Amino acid sequence: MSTADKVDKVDKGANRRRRPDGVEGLIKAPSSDGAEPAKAGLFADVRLITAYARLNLQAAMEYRASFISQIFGMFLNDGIWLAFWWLYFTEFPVLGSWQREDVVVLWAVLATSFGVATGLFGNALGLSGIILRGDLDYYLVLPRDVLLHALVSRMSTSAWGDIAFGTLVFIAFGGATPGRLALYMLSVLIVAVFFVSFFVIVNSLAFFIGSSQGISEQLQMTLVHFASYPTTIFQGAARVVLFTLIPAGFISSVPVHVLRRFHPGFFAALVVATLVLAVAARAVFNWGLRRYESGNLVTGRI
Amino acid sequence: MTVRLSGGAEAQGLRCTPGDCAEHGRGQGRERRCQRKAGHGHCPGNRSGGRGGDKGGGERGREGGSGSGSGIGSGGNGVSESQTGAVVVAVVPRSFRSVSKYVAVLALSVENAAAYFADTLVRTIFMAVVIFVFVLLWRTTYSVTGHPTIAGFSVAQMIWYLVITESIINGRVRYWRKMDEEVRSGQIAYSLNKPVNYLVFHYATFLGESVVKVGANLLIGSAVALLMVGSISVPLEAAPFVIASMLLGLTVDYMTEAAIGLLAFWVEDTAPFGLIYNCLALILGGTLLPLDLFPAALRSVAAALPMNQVVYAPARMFASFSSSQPFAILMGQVAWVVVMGCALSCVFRLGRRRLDVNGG
Amino acid sequence: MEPAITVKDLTKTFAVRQREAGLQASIRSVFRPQVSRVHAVRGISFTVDQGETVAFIGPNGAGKSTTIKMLTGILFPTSGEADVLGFTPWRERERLAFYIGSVFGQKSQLWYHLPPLDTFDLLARIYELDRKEYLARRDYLIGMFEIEEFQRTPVRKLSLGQRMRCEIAASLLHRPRLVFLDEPTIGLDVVARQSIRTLIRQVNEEDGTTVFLTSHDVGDIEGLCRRVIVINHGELVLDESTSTLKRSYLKSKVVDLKLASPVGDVDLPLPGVRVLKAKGYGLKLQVDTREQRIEGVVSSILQRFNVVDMNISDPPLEDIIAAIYREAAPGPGVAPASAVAEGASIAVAARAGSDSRDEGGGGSQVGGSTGDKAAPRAPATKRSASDGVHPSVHPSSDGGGTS
Repeated sequence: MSTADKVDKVDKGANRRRRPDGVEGLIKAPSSDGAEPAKAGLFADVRLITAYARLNLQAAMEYRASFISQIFGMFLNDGIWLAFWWLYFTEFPVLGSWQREDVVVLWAVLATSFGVATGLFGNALGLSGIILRGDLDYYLVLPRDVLLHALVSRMSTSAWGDIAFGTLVFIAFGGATPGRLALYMLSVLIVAVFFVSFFVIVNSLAFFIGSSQGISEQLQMTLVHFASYPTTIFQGAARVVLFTLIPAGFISSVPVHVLRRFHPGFFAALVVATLVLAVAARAVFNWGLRRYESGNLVTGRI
Repeated sequence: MTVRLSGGAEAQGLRCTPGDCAEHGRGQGRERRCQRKAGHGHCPGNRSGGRGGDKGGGERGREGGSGSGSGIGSGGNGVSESQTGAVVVAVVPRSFRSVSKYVAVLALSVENAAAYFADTLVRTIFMAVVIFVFVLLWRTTYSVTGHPTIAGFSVAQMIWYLVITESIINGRVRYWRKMDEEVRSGQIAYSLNKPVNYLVFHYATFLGESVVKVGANLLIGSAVALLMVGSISVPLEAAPFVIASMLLGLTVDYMTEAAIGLLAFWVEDTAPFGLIYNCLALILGGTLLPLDLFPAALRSVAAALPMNQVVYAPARMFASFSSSQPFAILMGQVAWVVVMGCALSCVFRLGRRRLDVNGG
Repeated sequence: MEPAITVKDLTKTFAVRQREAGLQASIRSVFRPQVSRVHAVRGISFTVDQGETVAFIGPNGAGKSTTIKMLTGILFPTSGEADVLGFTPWRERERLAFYIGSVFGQKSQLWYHLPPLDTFDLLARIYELDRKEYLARRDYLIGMFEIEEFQRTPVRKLSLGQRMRCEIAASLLHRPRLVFLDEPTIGLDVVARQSIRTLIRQVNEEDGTTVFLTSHDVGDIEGLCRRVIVINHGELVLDESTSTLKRSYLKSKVVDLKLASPVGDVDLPLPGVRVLKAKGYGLKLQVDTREQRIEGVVSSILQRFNVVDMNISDPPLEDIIAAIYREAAPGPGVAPASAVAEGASIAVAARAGSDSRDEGGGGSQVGGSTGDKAAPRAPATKRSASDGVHPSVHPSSDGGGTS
C-alpha cells in the first residue's frame, strides 16, 4: 500500500478528498495526521526568504559595476542629507530638544531600517505595479503565501547602500556601546516591519483604485520624508497627522525616546503601532486579493 | 533612501519623446509622422530596462520570474496628436527652417509633457510635502533664534527661495541618463545622420519637458507657500530677470548633464558621475540651504562649481531681488553657459570621433 | 482513477466599468458608473482524465485564459463547479498548487541573469521538496531535457529553444500531476518545437502527467494532444479526439502541381475541383473528395497538363480549426450568415454524436457534457451535411499537413 493510500485511510473530515498519488517521497511526506505536504510553517517561510535573498544577491552581483554604483549612489544620497543637517546645526546648534547627534542617529536608524525593508522585501515599494499588471498570478499558482512571496522575490540593490551607511554612521557618531547597539538593531528591525507594513497598505490601494501607482509612490515618499525630520518641528494638527495618517512620528521619535533615553512607554507604543500596522497590512492585502481573484479590478484585467 | 534621487518620474524611467523614434527619425517633416505614432513601443529609451542608476541591471530577472521583461514604463499612454510642430515647419519659409526645426521640437516636447499633466501633478504632490515640511522646519528655526531674519532672509523669503530651488531641482529632466542610454544603445549613431544638430535638438527636448515640470512644481509649491507663509514683495521688473535666470540655469544643467552622459563613450558606468553631480547640486548648488548660510570656505568651493548657477542663482534673485545683483548673476550664468557649452561640444566631438573609429 | 479535471457549468462574468474619454464623462462615471457585463465563460462543462493530453484552443478573447485561471484557482467563477485533482481550485488554491505545474510561453519563471540551476533550487525551496529526492528528480529532468551543457549558463545567454526546455523542466521538478502549458512553443523554430513536443509526450507517458495545453500552433495540437477542446465566445464549440477531428473534416485534398510549361488560363470543368493557385509553373487545386474521386481528377490533370511534380495532401489542420473558429456563432441562438455560406456545420457534427457523422465513430468523446449542450445549439446551426472545410481565403501553406 502506498503512503498515499495509508494516509487516505487516516483522512477524516468533510473536506478531505483523495489526494492524487505520485508525490510521495518527492514532496516531504505528509505528517502523521494526514496534513498537506509541508504546509509551510514559519521556518519554511524563513527558508524562503533566505533562498530569495541569496538568489537576488547573486543576480545583482552579475552586474558588478552597476551593483557598486547603486550602493555608492545611495551612500551619496544619504550623505547629502547628513551634510545638510551638519551645516544646519553649525548655524543653529539646537532645534527644539534635538541636537546634532540626535539627527545623525535618526538618519542612521532611518537608512538602515529602510534598507532592511527594501532589501529583504524589495517588492514592497512596487507592489501596486505588480497588482495592476496582473503579475500576482504568478504567485497565486505557487504554493506559498502570496503576500510574503511577492514581497521577498525582489531585492533593492541600493538597499545595501542604505544599510551600510546607516550602520557606519551609527557606529561613528551614535555613541555605540554594546547596549545601544543592541537596542539600535532591535529598533531597526521593528521600524523595518513598520515600513513594509505601511508600504503594503498604501500599495494595496491598487486593488481598489486603478492606476494608483502615483498616489502610492507619493504616500511612500511622504512617510519617509516626514520621518527624516525631528519631531519637534511638527506642532498642532501636523503632529496629529504625524502619528496617525502618516505615522512617521513613531519612526522619528526613536532616536530621542529609545536610543538616547529609553522611554518604555514610547517603546511600547512603537511596538503596538507596528503590530497594528502589520495586521492591517495583512488584512487589507487579503481583502484586495479576494477582489483581484474575483477579476473585477477596475483595470478590467481579463 | 529614495527620497531625493528617484523622485517620481525618474524612478519610472525616462518617458520617450516623439523625436526619439528610431523608425521615424528626426528632421523636418518626419517629425510629423513621429507625432502621430510616437508611443512607448517605438522608443528605445523605454524598452531597455536601463542599466546603472537606481533601477540597475538585473531588474527583469530580479522580479522573481513574475516580470515579463517589460520593465517599468512610466504612466500614460500615447501622445496627443498635434499639428503644432507640423504647422510651424510648414508655414515658415525655408530660410528659417533651421531654427524653426528646434522650436518645433521644443513645442512638441512641451506638448508631450503637457499630455501627461495630470500624471505630473500627482507626482508633484511630493513638492507640497517638501515645502510643507520646510515651512515647519524654518518656522521652528526662526523662533528658536529669535531673529526675524537670517542672513538677510525672512521666513517667507527663505521659503520662497526653497520653492524655486526645489521646483528646479525636481522639475528638470535628468538628462545624463538619457544621453548615457543614447550612447549605449547606439541610438546616437542613427541620429548623427539626420540634418539636425544633435545637441541642440536634445536641448530643445530637454527644455520643453523641463519647463512643464518645473512649472507644475512651481504651481504646487507656490500654492503651499502662499497658504502657509504668505507672499513676498517681488518687484514687477524682476520677472524677466528671474525667468531669464531660470532658463539660463536650466541650460547650464542640461550642458553639464549631457556632458556627463556622453562620458558613456569612454566609461562603463556614468552613474557615479551623474549621482555625484546631483548630490553636489543639492548641497553646493544651494538647493537645501542658501549659500549665504554656508561657512566661508565651503561657500567659495560652491562658487567655483556650476551647480549653483542652476539653482541658487535664480532662487536668490527671486527671494530678495533688490539685495541681489541681477545683472551680475545673469552675467555669471551666461559665462557658465559658455564654459559648459564648450565643454559639452568638446566631449561631443571627441566622442563622435570615437564613434567613427569604432562604429556603432 | 478519478478524473484530473471535472468542470460543470463553469461561468464567469466580468463587470467592467465603462470609461469614456473626457473630463465630463469621467466625473459622470464617478457618480453613475456604467457597468457592462462581459460574459467571458458561459457555463462550460468537460472532464479530463488523468494522463490525458488535451489541447484547449480558441481564438483570442474566447475565454481560454479565463478558464485556465479558474482551474488554477487564480479567479473565482461566477457560478458553476470545478474539481481539479480533488480540489476546488479557488477555495484550495495553495494546496492544489503543490500538484500542478504551469508554463506560460510569454512569461518566464527563470531568473534572467542566473543559470537555470539556481531557479531550480529556488523552486525546490518553494515547493519544499525533499533535498535528496529533488536532486534525483532534477538530474533526471536535466538528462531528459538535455540541459546539461548549459545548466550553468545564465538564462539570458540561452537561445529561446534552450530556455523553453528549462522552463518546462522547471515546471516539472515537483512532479506535478497536471501541467498547464500556455503557448510553450511560441517563437521557436521547427526543430525546437519538435523536440519540446517529444519531451512533453515523454513526460506524459512516463510520469502519467496530465497535459492541458493552450496553443495557437497546430503542430503542437497534432503532435502532442490526443484530444481537442475548442472554446469560442465563452462556450465550448468542440470536444473531440484529434484524430476524429481530422478525419471528420477531411472532405478534401489539396493537389499541388508543378508543370512543365507556364499555366495559362486554367479551365477545369470538373465538379468539386477548385483552383487555389495558378501562377507561373505552379498549379494548386482543391478537390472535394465527396463529389469527385481523386483518381479521376489526377488522370484528368495528367491528360491535360505536362506535369513535372505532383503532391497530394490533406488540408492543413489550421484551416479546419480556423473554420471552426469562424463557424462558431457569435452568441447563442444566432446563426451568422457568413458561417452558413462557409459551409462547415462542425458544431452540429460534433454534438450530434449519433448523427450521420459516423467516421469518427461518434463525434464527441466526452459523453454527456457537450451532448447536453447540443440541444440548444443545434437548432441555431442546423445545416445540411457539411460541405467540407473550405480552406482559408489565403492558403498560405503549401501542401498542407503538419507545419
